[in-house]
Amino acid sequence: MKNIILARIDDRLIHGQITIGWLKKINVDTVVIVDEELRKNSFLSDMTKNAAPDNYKIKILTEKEFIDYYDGQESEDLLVLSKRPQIYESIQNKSRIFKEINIGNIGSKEKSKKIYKSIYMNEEEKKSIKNLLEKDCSIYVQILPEDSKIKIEKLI
Amino acid sequence: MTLLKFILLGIIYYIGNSTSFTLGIGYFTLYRPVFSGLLTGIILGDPISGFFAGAVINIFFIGFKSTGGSLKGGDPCLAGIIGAMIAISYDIPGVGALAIAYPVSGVGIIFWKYRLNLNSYYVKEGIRGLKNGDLNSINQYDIYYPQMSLLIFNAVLGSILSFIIYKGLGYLVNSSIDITKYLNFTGILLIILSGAILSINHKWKYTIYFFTFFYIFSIFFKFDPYLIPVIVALLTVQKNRRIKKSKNKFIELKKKDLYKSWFIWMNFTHSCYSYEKLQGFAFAHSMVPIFKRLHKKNKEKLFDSILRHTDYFNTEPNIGTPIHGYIIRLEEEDKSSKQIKEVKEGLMGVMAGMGDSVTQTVLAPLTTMAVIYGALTGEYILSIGGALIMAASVIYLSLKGYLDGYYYGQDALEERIKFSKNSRIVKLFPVIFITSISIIISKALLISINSISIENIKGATLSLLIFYFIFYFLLNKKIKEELLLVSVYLLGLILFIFA
Repeated sequence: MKNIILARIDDRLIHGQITIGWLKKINVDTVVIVDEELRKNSFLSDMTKNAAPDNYKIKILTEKEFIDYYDGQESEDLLVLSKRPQIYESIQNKSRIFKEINIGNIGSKEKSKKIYKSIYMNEEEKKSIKNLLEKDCSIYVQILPEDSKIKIEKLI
Repeated sequence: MTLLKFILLGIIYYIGNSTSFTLGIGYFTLYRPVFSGLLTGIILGDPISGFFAGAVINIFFIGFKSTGGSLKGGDPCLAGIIGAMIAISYDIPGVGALAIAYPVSGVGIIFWKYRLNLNSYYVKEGIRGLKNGDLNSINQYDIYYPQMSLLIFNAVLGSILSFIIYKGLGYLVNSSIDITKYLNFTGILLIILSGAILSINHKWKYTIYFFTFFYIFSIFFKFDPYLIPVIVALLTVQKNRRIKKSKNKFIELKKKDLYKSWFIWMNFTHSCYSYEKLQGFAFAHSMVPIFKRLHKKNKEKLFDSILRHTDYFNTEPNIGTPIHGYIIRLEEEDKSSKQIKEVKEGLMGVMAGMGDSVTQTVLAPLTTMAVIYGALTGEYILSIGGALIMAASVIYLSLKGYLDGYYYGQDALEERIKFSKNSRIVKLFPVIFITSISIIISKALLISINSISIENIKGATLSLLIFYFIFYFLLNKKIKEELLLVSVYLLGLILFIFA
């Protein structure tokens, strides 16, 4: 049985806000990164695993691998990280795993608009967020554990 | 105090808050209360009192960290300035100054998000200038406009705040209420509270035993102030194994181009820090000397390349520099922009997560504690030593990262991870931190207890009991820190009335 303690959208994955912010406040055994490109790039995935804080298992999985892993027998408390809402949307379409998703950072890119502080989204991402909201998933912005949660409906 | 002095305090606030023009060292020094307190002391003609008040205030800010544009609590630099000013002007002890400086410093944080929003505008204008073929626009919009705005804003805010506090407190000091005594009570409670919060944030099972032991030890025994730093140095010194990989040779670039790039990066990582790009604009700026050499004959390619690097970027500025060196290498080898983008985006988070847990979490608190301890005991060699070690670490780590990233590419990145994770200082950090902070807190309390006319041993014992109460009954029950802070101010009032 897997227990998702925190599922977060953050395009810098395991960065400072995770290592010295969240991981100091929540108790998890495993950090799971769902990202196809990172999964394929052996140099970057080795770097990600080696640089991550000790005492945590680090898994880098594709969407399909994540669903299989989630359904597996082993009992673990998870921190799930992914760069884009689309990834959560596509998992949620196949299996309703997520009840709550946290948004941390989405950097600006072409045609993206500011939502809140360092969170920028384009139309496609907003659409994914709306679909996730319809699929029994509540989504909120909370950059650090000390911040209060802001429901995404208030921002987009 | 003259008007000029208030303006000078405002300028100190700009210098500490900007963190630019200091090769990355300012963030770990001038931005901290112990240093801004010292500078304030120099302006007001009493550096020793300023330094001392700054040191006491800094205990409360020792766990200060900022990650990816998020900032919480109070502005350390402003707290040091306000605290040192009132300590000197009204002869209020450091703890009493802390009780005023901490809430006032919260004002500094309110404006942080406006700074990052304003900088988003400057970045847009800077990029527009680059697109129009104006290379100078990166200097204007990464340095000149954001720094001028910040100078004007911080000088005004810093002067006005210090003026209001100076006048307001002057009125209270001259009234019939013994305001100093209330502030001292509250400040002592704040120091105890910060000790409890720092202890509980260290998920280490022996924290409370170590804290108790060294707290009592330092109250009852006199020992050489250099003892702990020397033990720490002996325990943590280690030899680095160098990488024995093949070294890339320069093709077109020269070593001085790398130095120029490093110099720009280190001075301006946060000069135009914005929500939209974070350090992205600074990264592009640091690449200017590189592309000036690589594409000196092809103006179109020069601008295209610089613009390509204005993308969103954020990492730990010192530990993360092998990324820059490696990217420069890939640019010189004319690798595809897709490959370069992937490396940059893939590595920034990795190096930030690990870097922040070394520099901000370990190095900065350790060296600052040496500075504080020196200020409290009057052993200024310790303070100078702490500051020099911090400065040297920033320069060494960042420059070595730049050069190694260029010479050894991926191997340099791997080596940096191994170096950071296997450092003895990182592994021994919980022990060293709890030992040092308990000694510092007991020292600061011993000095302060006299000011509320309680006998030393009695006061120190009472403080330890309050510490246990906060640690076991309040923090363990997950009571919010904000609530505790408000309670401390109320409790200070109650103690003041009954004492």
